[in-house]
Amino acid sequence: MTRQYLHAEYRRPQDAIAAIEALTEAGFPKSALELYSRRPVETDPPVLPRRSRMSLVAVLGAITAGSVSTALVFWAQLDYPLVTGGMPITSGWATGVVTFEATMAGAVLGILFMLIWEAGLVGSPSGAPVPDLPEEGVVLQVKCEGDSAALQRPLSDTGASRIEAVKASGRPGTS
Amino acid sequence: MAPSGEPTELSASSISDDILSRMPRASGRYMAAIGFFGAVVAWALFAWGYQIQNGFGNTGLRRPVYWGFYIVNFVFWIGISHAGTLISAILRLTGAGWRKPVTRAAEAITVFCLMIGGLFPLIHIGRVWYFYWMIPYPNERLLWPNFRSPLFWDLTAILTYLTGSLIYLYLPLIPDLAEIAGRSSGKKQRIYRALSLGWTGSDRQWQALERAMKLMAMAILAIAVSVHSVVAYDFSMSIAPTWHSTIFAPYFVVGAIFSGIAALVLVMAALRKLMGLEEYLREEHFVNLGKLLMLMSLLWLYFTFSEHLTTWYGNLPYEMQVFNLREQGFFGIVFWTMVACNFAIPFVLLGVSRLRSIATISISGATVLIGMWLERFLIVVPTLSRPALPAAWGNYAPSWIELSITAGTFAAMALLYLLFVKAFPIIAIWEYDETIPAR
Amino acid sequence: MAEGKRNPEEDGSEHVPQWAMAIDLDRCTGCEACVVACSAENNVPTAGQEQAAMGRAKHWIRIDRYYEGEFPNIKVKYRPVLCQHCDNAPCEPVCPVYATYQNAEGLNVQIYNRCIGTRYCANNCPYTVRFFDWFAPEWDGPLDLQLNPDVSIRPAGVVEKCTFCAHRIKRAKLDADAEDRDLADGDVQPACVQSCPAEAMVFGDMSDSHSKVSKKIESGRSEQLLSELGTKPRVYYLRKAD
Repeated sequence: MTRQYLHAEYRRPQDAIAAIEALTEAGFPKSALELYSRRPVETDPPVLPRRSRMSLVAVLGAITAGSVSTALVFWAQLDYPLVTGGMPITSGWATGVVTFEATMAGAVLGILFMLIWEAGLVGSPSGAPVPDLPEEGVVLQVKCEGDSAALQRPLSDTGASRIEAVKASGRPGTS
Repeated sequence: MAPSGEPTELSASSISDDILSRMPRASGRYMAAIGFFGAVVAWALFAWGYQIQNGFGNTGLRRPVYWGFYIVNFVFWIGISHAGTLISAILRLTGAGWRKPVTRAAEAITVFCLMIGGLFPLIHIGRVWYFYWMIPYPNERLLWPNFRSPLFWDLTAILTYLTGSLIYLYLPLIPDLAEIAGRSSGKKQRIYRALSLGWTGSDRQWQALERAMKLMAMAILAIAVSVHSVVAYDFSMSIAPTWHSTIFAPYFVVGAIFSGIAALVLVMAALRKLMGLEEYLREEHFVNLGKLLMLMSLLWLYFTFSEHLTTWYGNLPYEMQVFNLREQGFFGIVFWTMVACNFAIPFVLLGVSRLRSIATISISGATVLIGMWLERFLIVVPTLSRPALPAAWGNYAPSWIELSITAGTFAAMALLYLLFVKAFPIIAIWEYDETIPAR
Repeated sequence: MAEGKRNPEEDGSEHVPQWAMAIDLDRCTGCEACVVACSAENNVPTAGQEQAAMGRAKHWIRIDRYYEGEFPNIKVKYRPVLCQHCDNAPCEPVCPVYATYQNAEGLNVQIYNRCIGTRYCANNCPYTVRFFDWFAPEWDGPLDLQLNPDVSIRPAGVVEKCTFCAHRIKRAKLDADAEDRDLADGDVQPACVQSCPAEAMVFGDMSDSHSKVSKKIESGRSEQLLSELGTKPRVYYLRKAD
C-alpha cells in the first residue's frame, strides 16, 4: 500500500475549512489533515483541534526550576552557615526573589521547549512533504493510504483551485 | 489618513514585499550613521578600558557618593526595557488590534536596553574581572554567592528577563524569517532558513506559536514587574535615608513603564521618518501611546507626591537632610526640571486635544526620557551625599569617563537598532496581516 | 576555662571573647594621634592633596567635630568614628559575594580577596566608615618604607575598613598560647587605643564582666552611635549625661 499526500490549494481559507468539514463528515480523520499558509488561519475553536501540553509543561518547568533553585539556596546556606547582619541562616523572605525568578525562568524555558516540540521545529521532522505556499490562500494537505480518487471530489467541490498528489518522502521510521 | 481601518488594500504578498522593501540598504547615509554611532561606542569602550587600567579614581565617584552615573544609567536603561513588555504583552493579552505594527519595535527596545543596562553593574564594580564570583556554581573557593544580597537578585532577575525577552522577540520573528528565506536566494536564504528553524507554515506550527506567545506574554509580564521591583530593592533594602521605602518597588515599576512608553514613541517616530513607515505607524498608534503616556505620567505624579509627602510629614532628621538637599539649590533646579519634563509639559501637550499630534507626542516622549533620567539621578545622588553623620557629607560630579560611557550607551542603542532594522523586518509582517476567515 | 592550646572557634566549650571598644568622649582631646597610629599600623595609603580634596582620603578612624553655640561662646566636641563592628551590621547582608561577615568574636570582617567592589556595603553603612580603593595603593616617601608586614596591602577596586586590629588580636592569642595561658584583659590593644595620650579608648572582651571595657560599658555613661537604627554597634561612647 502506498502512502501519498494530496495538496489542495484554496484561494480563500473559508473554502479550506469547508473542505475539512466535508471530509470530516465523510468520516475522514482530522489527524490526517493539515493546513499550510503564510498567515495563521484563526478560527475559534481551531478547525483542526490539537491537544497541547504547553501550559502543563510550563507549570511543571516553573515548579521544577523554582524548587531546585530554592533547594540549592537553602542547601548552600546551610553548607556554609555564615550569619550575616543578624539575619537567620536561611530565610524564606530573603530568598523569595531568587525563587520567583527561577520559577519564571523555568516556565519560559518550558514554553520554548514545548513550542519546538509541538511545532516540530528543530530536529523533529514529521515526514510529510511541505507544499509550496501560494502567495494567496492556503494549502490543505490530506494524508491517504492507497487510492486517493475518492478524495478528489470533496476537495474540488469545495473550490480547490489546484489538486496535486505527492508521494511520501519515504523516510524510514516516520509515520 | 484615516484614523481607523487598514490604510491600503494590499494583498498578503504585496504587504510582505512592501515591508521588506523598506528595510534599509547599505547606503552611504546608513553607513555614515553606523560609523558615527560605532565611533561613539568605541570611545565609550576606551573610557571603560581606561577606568579598568588606570583605576576607578578616574571617575568622579568619591566618598560618600559611591554610586553615581553608572547606577543612574543602570536603572534608566532597565526601566526603558519595560516598553516591549507593556505594549506587547498587555496589548497581546487584551487583544488590542492596534498593537500589531508596534510590537516588534517595542520588543527590540526591551532586548537592547537590557543588554545595555545589564552592562552597567559590570562597569560599576571595582574588580570587573571577578564579576563571575556572583554566579552560583561549585568552585574552588568553596563559597556560594550571598543569596540575600539584592545585587544577586539583580543578577537572577536580569538574566531571566533577558532570556525571556529574547525568546519573546524571537518567536514571532520566526514566520517572518521563513518569509524572507522564501523570497531570497543563496547564502542569505540559507541563513534565514536556518534562523527560521524549519518553519513550514503548517496549522500545527501556527497553533503552537500562538499558544506559546500567549503563555510567554503572561510570563514576561510577571518577570518585567519583578525585574524593576528588584532594581528598586537595591535601594529600598538599604537603610540609607529616603531609600528605605516600601513603595519603591511599585514606584520604580510605574516609572519604568512610563519611560518605556516614552522611548517607544521616540523610536517609532524615528522609524517612521527614516524608513518611510508612515502607512504602518499611523497617527492613531501615536495617539493611543500618547494616552498611555499621559496615564503613566499621572501615576508617576501620584507616586512622587506620596513619596515626598510622607518623607516631609514624617520629618525624620536624616530623611529631611536629603529631602532639603533635593528641593533646594542645584538639586532643586534638577527636581523642578524633572517635574516639568515628566508632568507639566506632557500634561499640556497630551492633554489639550488640539495640540495632540505625532510631533507633540514625540516631544513629550523626549521630555519624559530626560525627566526620568533626572528622577533616577535624584534618587541616587542626594541620598548618598547626605549620610546620617554630617561629618561624612560630600558631593559628586561625573568625570569624562562617566560622561563618555553614558553617551556611548545611547549610541549603542542607536547602533543596535540600526543593525536590527537592516536584518529583520521591524513590522511583524504576519501579525500585521493576519487572515481572519469569516465564520 | 581550659588551657589555651585549642582553637576556641572549633570547640564550643571554650570561651570566645566578644571584642568591644569604649571611647570616653569627655577625655578625647581631638588630637588625632589615633588617626595617625591607625594609618601607620594598617598600611592605609596616602591619597595626596588633590585626591584628598576630592574626597578620596582614607581614614579608618576619623575625628568628627561638632560645634555647639554661637561665636565666641563656642564649644567643640570631638567624636572618634571607626567601624562600629555592628552585631546587626547593615553592610553584611547586601554583599553579593560574602566579602564581609560577622565572625564568632563579634568582629565585622572584611575579606579583601573576596571583594569585587560593588560598594553596596559602603552605601549601606550609616557611619560611612567603609572606604573604596580608587587606585592601587601608594605612599608618599618615606612612608613606603615603614609598611606593617602583619597587614595585607589592599589592591585597587576593593572596600576596606577598620578591623579592630585583627592582626594584633591574633598576635596576642599566639603569645598567650606560647606562654600556655589565657588571654588577659589588656593583652589586645589596637593601635588607636595604644596611642591615645588621654587614654580615652579602652578595648577588651565585653563578655568578661571584670574587663575594663565591660566596666566602662556598664558605667551608666555609655551610649551607642545612631543606636536608633538598631545596628547594635560594638563601639560604646561614654559621656556625662547632659
